[in-house]
Amino acid sequence: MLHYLQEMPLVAFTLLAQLAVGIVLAGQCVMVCGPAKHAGALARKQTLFAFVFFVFAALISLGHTGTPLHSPFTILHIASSWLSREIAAVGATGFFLLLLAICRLKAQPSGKEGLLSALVIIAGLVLCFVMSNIYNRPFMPGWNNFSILPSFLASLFMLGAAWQLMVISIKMGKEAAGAAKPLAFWAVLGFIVLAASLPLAVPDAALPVNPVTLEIPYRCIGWSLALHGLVSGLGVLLIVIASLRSCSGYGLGAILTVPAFILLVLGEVFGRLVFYLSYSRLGM
Amino acid sequence: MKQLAFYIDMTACSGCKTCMVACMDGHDLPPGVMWRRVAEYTGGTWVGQPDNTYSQNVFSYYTSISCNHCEDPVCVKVCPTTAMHKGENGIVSVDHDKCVGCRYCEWNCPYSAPQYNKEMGKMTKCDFCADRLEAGLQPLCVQACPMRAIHFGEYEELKATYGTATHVAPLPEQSLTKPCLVITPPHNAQPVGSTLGKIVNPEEM
Repeated sequence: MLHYLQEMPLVAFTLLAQLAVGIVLAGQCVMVCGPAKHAGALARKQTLFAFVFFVFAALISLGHTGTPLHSPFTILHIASSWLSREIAAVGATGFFLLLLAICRLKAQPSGKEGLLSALVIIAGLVLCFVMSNIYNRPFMPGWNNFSILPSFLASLFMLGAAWQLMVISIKMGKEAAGAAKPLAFWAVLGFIVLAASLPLAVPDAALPVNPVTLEIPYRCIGWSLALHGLVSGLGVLLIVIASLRSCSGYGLGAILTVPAFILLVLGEVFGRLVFYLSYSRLGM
Repeated sequence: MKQLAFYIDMTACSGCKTCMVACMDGHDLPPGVMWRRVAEYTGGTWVGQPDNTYSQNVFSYYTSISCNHCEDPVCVKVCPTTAMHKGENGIVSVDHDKCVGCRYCEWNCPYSAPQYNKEMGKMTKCDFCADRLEAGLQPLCVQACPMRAIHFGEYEELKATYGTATHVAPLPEQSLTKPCLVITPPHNAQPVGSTLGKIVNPEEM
């Protein structure tokens, strides 16, 4: 049986890691697509925050282990364990993120940044894929579906874009207009992916699962997922309104980005908790 | 390689749970850690007959289960540290010098064999009473069963003696882990995957 407090380190780990990679992805998008140079410079600076979030994610994940001092052993079984592969992917993403953060501490962008940024994004996407495979197991019908990878990618897109838009809008006000549109695009894309994945996450109630492993009844999962979608949708709606306001030159846009980010975080934390509580196992 | 296995005579099991208690007591397991568990699987209902009468198809039986030291153990496959390993006599056990206590083996095992010990911060599980085997003794559950419903021995020999039946509900489909378990099913056993019955003693599991 999984207890929700016991799973909080995993909720925090997965979300913070996805937020960190999302910040780099959304930042790169602003630098490439955003016409305002100042916005690009701000997005660049967020890499340090992304690294801090990622380090926190890695440290918090140790809270899920009973003997954290044995964690160096967790990469010994890469050949067959997806959990080992996840640890390796976390290491690779963290390493590239550290190099990128160091590069971006300098005021002037260097030629290596583009390559490092691409490496962080690729390693981050691989990390999401590996993370999703940890849960796609034949004996765990609550998790053995196609919703997990899309929902992880959705978190990455939405949280990263919301963070960058919040920082850029608050710092730049009306001048954030150029960066707002591409960021709103990533947030909307993330929500579309999330909305498509939610129906897939509802488990088959007819399967003979071990009642001992059920934390919440299957009938509650559908409603909880709908609530997750609603809260995240509201957050993305505020991002879209904020981006339109910024483009129209209204200052209100910047204020909206804060509740938008908070709503998205709340929605994702709730959704991730529901995900962990939807664990169930066949057999006895 | 020699592969040890358990044989459970479900027609003899009375559900007294002495095997479970002997295991907990002998290994000094803390509350909530149960290397052997006995599920009470019960179901059935009234069934309408063509002559407008009703008959019942009620069933109830006990399933005593511990680690089955599977041929293809999922706990070993998923363990990130290689702490979970298949060793001598095919016994699956935990190397406590490596186990990180992530509980991923517990998530995956369809027999709930790996059990988390909070005090140790590590996984624990049935090791077939390896120390007793070395001393020429029987595993505790085998020795304690008052109905003599649990036996152990070499897997192929058990199959030759007791037949090849290995699974009934609520046990899972056996093809994925290939458990080393031989049973004699009760007369009213339900097939694997059946949803007619349910485990009615979850608090004891």
